[in-house]
Amino acid sequence: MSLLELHSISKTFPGQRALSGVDLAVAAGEVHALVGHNGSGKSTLIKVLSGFHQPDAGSGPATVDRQELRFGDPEGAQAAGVRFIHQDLGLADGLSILDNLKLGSGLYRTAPGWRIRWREERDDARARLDALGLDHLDPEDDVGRLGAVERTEVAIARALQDEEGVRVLVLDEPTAALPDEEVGRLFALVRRLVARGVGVVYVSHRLEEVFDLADRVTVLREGVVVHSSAVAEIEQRALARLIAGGEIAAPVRATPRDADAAGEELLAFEDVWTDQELRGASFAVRAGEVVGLAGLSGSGVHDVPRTLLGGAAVSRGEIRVGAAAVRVLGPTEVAALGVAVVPAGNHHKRIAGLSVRENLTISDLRPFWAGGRFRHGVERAEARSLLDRFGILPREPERPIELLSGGNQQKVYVARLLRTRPRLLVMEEPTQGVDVGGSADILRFIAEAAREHGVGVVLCSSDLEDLAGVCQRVLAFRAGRVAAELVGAAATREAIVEECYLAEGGPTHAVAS
Amino acid sequence: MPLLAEPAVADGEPAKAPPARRHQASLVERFAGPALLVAMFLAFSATLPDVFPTYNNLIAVVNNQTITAMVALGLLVPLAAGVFDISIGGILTLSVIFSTLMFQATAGDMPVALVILMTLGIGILAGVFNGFLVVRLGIEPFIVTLGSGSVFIGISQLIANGKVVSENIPTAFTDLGRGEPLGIPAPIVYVGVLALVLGYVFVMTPLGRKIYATGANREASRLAGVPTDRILYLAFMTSGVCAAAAGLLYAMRIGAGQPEVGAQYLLPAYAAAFLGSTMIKPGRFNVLGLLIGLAIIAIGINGLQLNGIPSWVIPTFQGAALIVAVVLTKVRGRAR
Repeated sequence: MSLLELHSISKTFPGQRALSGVDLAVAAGEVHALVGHNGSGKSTLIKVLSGFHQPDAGSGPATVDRQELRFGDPEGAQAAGVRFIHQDLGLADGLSILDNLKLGSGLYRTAPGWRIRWREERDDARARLDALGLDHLDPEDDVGRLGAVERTEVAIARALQDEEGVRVLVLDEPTAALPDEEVGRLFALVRRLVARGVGVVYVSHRLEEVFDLADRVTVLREGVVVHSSAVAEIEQRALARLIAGGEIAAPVRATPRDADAAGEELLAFEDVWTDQELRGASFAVRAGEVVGLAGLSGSGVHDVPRTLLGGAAVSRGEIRVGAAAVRVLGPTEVAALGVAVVPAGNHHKRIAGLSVRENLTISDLRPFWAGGRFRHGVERAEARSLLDRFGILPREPERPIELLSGGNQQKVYVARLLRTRPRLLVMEEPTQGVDVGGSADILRFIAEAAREHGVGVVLCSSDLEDLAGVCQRVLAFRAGRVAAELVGAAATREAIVEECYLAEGGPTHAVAS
Repeated sequence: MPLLAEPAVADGEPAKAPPARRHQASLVERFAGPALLVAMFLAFSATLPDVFPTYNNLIAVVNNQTITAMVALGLLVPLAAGVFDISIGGILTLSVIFSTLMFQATAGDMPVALVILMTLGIGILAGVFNGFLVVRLGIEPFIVTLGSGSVFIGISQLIANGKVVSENIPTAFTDLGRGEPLGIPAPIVYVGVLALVLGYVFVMTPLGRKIYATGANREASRLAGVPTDRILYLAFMTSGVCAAAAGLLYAMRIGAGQPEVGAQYLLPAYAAAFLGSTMIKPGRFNVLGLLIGLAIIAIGINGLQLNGIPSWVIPTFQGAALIVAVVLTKVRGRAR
């Protein structure tokens, strides 16, 4: 019998089945990789195990060492020896490593008068770090100044405080924030734990890590286990196909793919390096085409909108808008050149406190300024016509923006920028958190803007359906550069995943239909 | 309908009926403040029929609030833009000391207009200083202006050498604060003009909308193309110049400057601004609401004083008004 066993776990959210009858078994001294695309149910499964989510009735049992776990009971999971390192490590910057280690476990050792016995605490922390092979960490260092690996190491050390009690360690994408060369140190630590008989559940997007570290692999897709085997029994490319779901019917393309109809060049990145993720990215976007950018987190995809908005500094290379090289980047600077960027994340777009009407018109108020006064009637009329054209519901321009559904809010942000008549539209995760109908509408607006108005569109999305459905070309990013270009019918969901997940090393190449 | 059709233009509203307005604040919410003001007015008129509702008393009450009103109106801009400015008391003090000292040091020879311009210039510079620290260095506005306000007071004490400045203040200067054109005290006219200008900016210009947007969500507004940095500079400059103008008004009316004058205006200005944000256009700092809020506080205190209530009531009443205003805002937010 395995160390950790989950039987038939199901979880339904309102309107969506996240997990259906998932089984997972992790043996002692084994690294079990859990892989799957965004929304496949990985995090839901982890959160059921941690007691954060209560699974549907009829799920279970879940056992650790033959002892049954109660669902929805975080303390129970803790007591059973299951520890979690979440992607957000939950460290307190500004406190020392020692204090952070103590955060989880509660009490300091005190002398009379509640005076902390610092010397003993320091020795303790030192011993604990040494035992984990983390002798390069000083317990007195400020956690806020540590690098990404050290932070992950501190989080692990904290999770393993009472080491003898730890049976299962769950790592949720621990390397997402780590540069490649430092992942090795983390792996060494994981291997030490495994050697002591701890079972490790390792959630990752990076397939090369799975092959490097894991003994077994389980693939989730749409809440179902589609594959589970020893890593040795499967090949990397086959695994990528399993994640993407090869048998899914090709989506209907929203736009005709007239490669020759593309117009003048609107945006070009030429060997662009930034202080964040881009490492020599080159690509160009022309008028009237929809270009998809795909890639895992850290691959540089999200650095493209970020760089245009001035959030990442270009250290090398050139960004051209139209024919001219652009030196100073930022929302107003690129807007002046006819480039509209819709970033991801509601807090970057939602101006709560203003009405839907005011949110729609804020990017360009000039049409309403005439004869020394603000023409509120003209503004209301335009807001209403935007609500109609973009199908934003309810049709109440005076409603506070925060009372709209996610999909309708997103439509407001798309409409906000499209009404400024940009020549190039850059959208980051436009359908994230948007229901199916809303997503279809938004993609339709994008396709229409490109087809009928000659707008060039850059679509940075982790939703492969969107990319495959609407883009004439999809550029797959890996390690900060464009690793592959998929043109036309070659840009299938499956092909995109394969290019994004592939290990490093292959030369840049183009795949044409 | 094409997605990017030409924007609907000026030729009138479409025939469609206006949409439901239930998301706009209810009448009760918008006009509870003014109603309270009227109720207080009637109550004091009933209890003190001979003293309270007289032209002289009421004009005096209003005139006494003009300095606070000027500070508070200027404060409205940073508050609407989402930042605190608590250096206005310090700027006011500096303005009082600087302007009177200019006259004293030159034995009253310096032209009045020049002194006024230089003093207003100092208010603007103080705002630029605050704006620089907030925008460029990204420091919390509260901390920045807490510190800078104290620095301004310190500078005032330094240049005044800790003494009251009262010599050689020309009457051409003090007349500006004591005159009564058209039978109305001049300060009331100044405040009226300032209120109209600010009301125009807030309601009738794109700039006003951008100020509110910056206050609602600075980062989202910036990404949507609002020049939020410039708006913040402008906000601090406005509150700075208004505080300096209020200081001039004080110097004109009192004819002297003492280096501890500014602090008393800070709390009533905030109380009026926050009280004002609960009425007329609830949830938004607005000029009319501010004036009514100020009137509620002023008339409340005046009525209580005429009724023989001791002076400790004044700070209590002002503080309570501020807290009540903030609580009302919170409750309104929860009701959403």
